[in-house]
Order: sequence, then structure tokens, then C-alpha cells
Amino acid sequence: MRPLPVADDVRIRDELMAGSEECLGEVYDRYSPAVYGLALQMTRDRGAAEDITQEVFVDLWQRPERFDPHRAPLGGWLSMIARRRGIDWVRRRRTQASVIVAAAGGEPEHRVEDAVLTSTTNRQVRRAVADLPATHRQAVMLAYYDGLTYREVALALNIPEGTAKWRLRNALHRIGEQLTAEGIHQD
Amino acid sequence: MIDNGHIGDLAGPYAVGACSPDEEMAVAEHVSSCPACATEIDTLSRTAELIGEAAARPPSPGLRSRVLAAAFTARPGRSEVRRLSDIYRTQVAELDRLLADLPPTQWQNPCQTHSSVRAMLLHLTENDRQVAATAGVGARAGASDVRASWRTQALAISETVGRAGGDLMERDVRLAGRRAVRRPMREALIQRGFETWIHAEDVRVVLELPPQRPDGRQIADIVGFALPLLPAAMAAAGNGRAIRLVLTGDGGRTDVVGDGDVVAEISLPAERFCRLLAGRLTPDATGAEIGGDTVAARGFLTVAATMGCD
Repeated sequence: MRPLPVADDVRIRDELMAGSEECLGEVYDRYSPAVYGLALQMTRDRGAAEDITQEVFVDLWQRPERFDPHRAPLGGWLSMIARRRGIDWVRRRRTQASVIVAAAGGEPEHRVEDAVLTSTTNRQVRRAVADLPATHRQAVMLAYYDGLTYREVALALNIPEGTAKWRLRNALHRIGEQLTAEGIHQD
Repeated sequence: MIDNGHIGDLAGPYAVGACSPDEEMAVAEHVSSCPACATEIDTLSRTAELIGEAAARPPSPGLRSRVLAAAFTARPGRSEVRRLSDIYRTQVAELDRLLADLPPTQWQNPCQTHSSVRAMLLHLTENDRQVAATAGVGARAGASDVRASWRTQALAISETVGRAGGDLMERDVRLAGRRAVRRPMREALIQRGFETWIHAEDVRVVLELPPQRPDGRQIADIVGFALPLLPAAMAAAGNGRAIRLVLTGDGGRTDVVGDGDVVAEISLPAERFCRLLAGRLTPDATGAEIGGDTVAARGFLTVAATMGCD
């Protein structure tokens, strides 16, 4: 288990609750690439990604008490909110059928390759995703970036639901094991 | 969903948020009492986070100021709260200093639209009361005179708001004035500073002292507070045509007020516009330069002159 809370996250939450403008600027500078990049990967629309980024940070500023540093690190929490909003956007924009057809027909890995912020860790994560068997990779991409449930993934890939669940679990384990083998500590 | 008493393959979908809501609740309940599943969920969730972080891409530089401005509009930060509280306190101190210099006989002198300075101060105390109540500042019993009563309440507002931070500034308050408008505390505090300055100017007239302008930031605050209220007031007066308003000097800015095509342009110093809003200058006395539809422009200035608190 990751040790929580991260001390800096407790300080940040306290300062945001006290209304420190500088602290929000600091949080934005640190996490906006992750939030924006994730939103852009999901929506493939710069305007929508900017709107989601704005919503995520304005929400944090308005209700900092909703972030509990004992339950998640701030970066992960913001990414989770960004992802939820991205999923909402994707679901609003497309009918479920068109998502499934489009997602199943396309090869989603290029979206990960597009990312330009190339820290060593990010490169290794992208390589670990690319190294997955194609069937696993598709399942992860459909669930993670297109916001499909595992049942929808099963439908999109024409596989049993149990197989979709297993592929998602197995894919994440494979990525994690490869990263650990490469010396990336996941904490 | 439970596999041999554990969540099994659902750990994968759960970590990427791909379960149904019912399954999500069931997994969350299970992991709260199963360290083995909790550890696996934690590991897989971290991997999922890393996938998300691998997509990181810097947004355009302009997004930063847009996001921060939207945030601080939604909830003012503590330095903004302190700034507004300081402006108000400065105006309270200035009016109190003028009142201290006012000879007892002049307290009964007419004061602008009020029958006396004393009546003006009672009116100001009453207008402050909405903000005081929202800030949790109770009525001060036993204040010996009208000046002490007003000052005690006003300073308590300033202190409470300055300490409370942004959350209090989000609360809605009924603004002083003829129209029943509720706006966030931040705007109500700007209005208190505005009205206190205007009444200090009223007392200066009684004392035959020259007028004093507030600093540019306060003028900008007053303009920013009043402009969004104007379209509704114009519509209520049956005068909804769009005007380009060019406010010059400290606190100045250019805005289009109202919808549709701009029919007239009005240019005047921002400080004089504030005095017009307070009903202390007539439209003609502002010296505003008007271009385009004169009738529409005069109609706009007439409506603006009704926005005060008297």
C-alpha cells in the first residue's frame, strides 16, 4: 500500500481551504499537464480538454475539502476527476453505438504515442502499454480513454464479459510488473 | 461478483472505473475489510494513474490565467478578501474621521438626499446590516450614539470578513438599493465600500471640503460590480439597446452594455461614472461625450443614475 497521506498534499489542501491563490497556481503548474493531457487523449478536442481542465481546477478551488489526502494522492485524485469529466463528455458527444464501432475499428495506441511530455517514466509507461498483446491493449484503451464499462468493452471486442474483465486485470498487472522490473517504484 | 470470497477479475475494471455503479459499491465495501484485495486494487489503480500521467501534455500558456481567473471569480482568494476588507476599512476610517470633525450643530444639516447627517448615518447603518447579518455580526446593543453604532458594526464586518476567507464571500446577500437583488458577499462588500465613500463625500460637502477620489482599484471594483447589474435595470426601464461605455482614467475600461447592435458610445471618466451611479452627478453634469443615438445614450445614463443606495 502507498503511504498516505503525502505530506505535501496535506499542506496543499490546508492552504487551498484557507484561500491561498499562490497555492492554486502551484497546483495548476504541477498537475495541469497530466489533467489536460488526459482530457485531450479522451476527447481528442482541444477546446473540450481546456474546458475540462478549467472545471477540474475550479472545482478543487471551490471545494478543496472534497479532496481527502488520506484516501488518494492529489495527482491521482485530479486525474480521476478529469477522467470522469472526460467520460461524461465522450458519452454526451457520441451515441454508445458509434463509440463502440469507432473504438473497435480504430487502433488506439497512437493516442498514447502522441503525448509530448516525455519524462523517462512516461516513456516507459507508454512502452509497457505498447508491449501488451493487442487484445489487452484494446481493452485498456477502450475502458480507460473511451470510458467504456467492461461489459461495453466485451461488446465492442465481441468477447465474453469474463474475458474482458480478465484482460483488464491482466493488462494492468503486466504493465505494473514491467515497470517494476525496469526499476519504477509505483509509489 | 465475488470469486472465492474475493473480487477476482473485477479488480481490473474497478481500477480503471469500468464497473457498473452496483459493482463499484460492492467492490469498495469488500476491499474495506479485505487487505489482500485492497492491496491489489491499490497496485492496479496506481498503474492506471501512470497510464493517465503518460498522456501528460502542457496546455497552452494562456489557459493558466483563464483557469485562475475563473477560480477566483467563483471563490475569492484570501489576498483578494483582505484587499476588499482593507478598502472598506479605509473608507470607514475616513468617514469616521470626518464625522469626528463635524460640529454638533451640523449633525442636523441636510445631507444630500437625507434630511440630516444623522439621518444619513442611520440609513447607512441600516444598509450595512444585511452584510453584517450574513457575516454573523450581531446587532451591537448599547451603542451610545449613532456614530459609534455605525462604526462598531462596520469595523466588525471588516474584521469578520477579513478573517473568514473566501467561503463567506460566496454567500449571497441582498444588496442595498431600490431593486431586490441578491449577489455574493464579495459584491456586497464592494457596495459597502462604495456607499461609505459616497457618504464621506456627502459629509465633505457639509464641511465644505473638496471631494476626494478613491484609488483606482476601488473604482475598478465599483465599475466591475455595477456593470453586470445594468442590463436588467435597462430592460426594466424599457431601454435595452446596447451601449458602448468607454470609462477613462483610473479604474477605466471599455464594455458593451446590453444586447444587440451597439447604437451609441458614451465616454466619461470612471470616477465620474461612479458618482453618477451613486446619484451624486446628474447625467448632464457628468460631462460624458456621446456619439450615435443620443436618446438611447441619455436613457442609459438616466438608468445608471438610479443604481445608488439612497
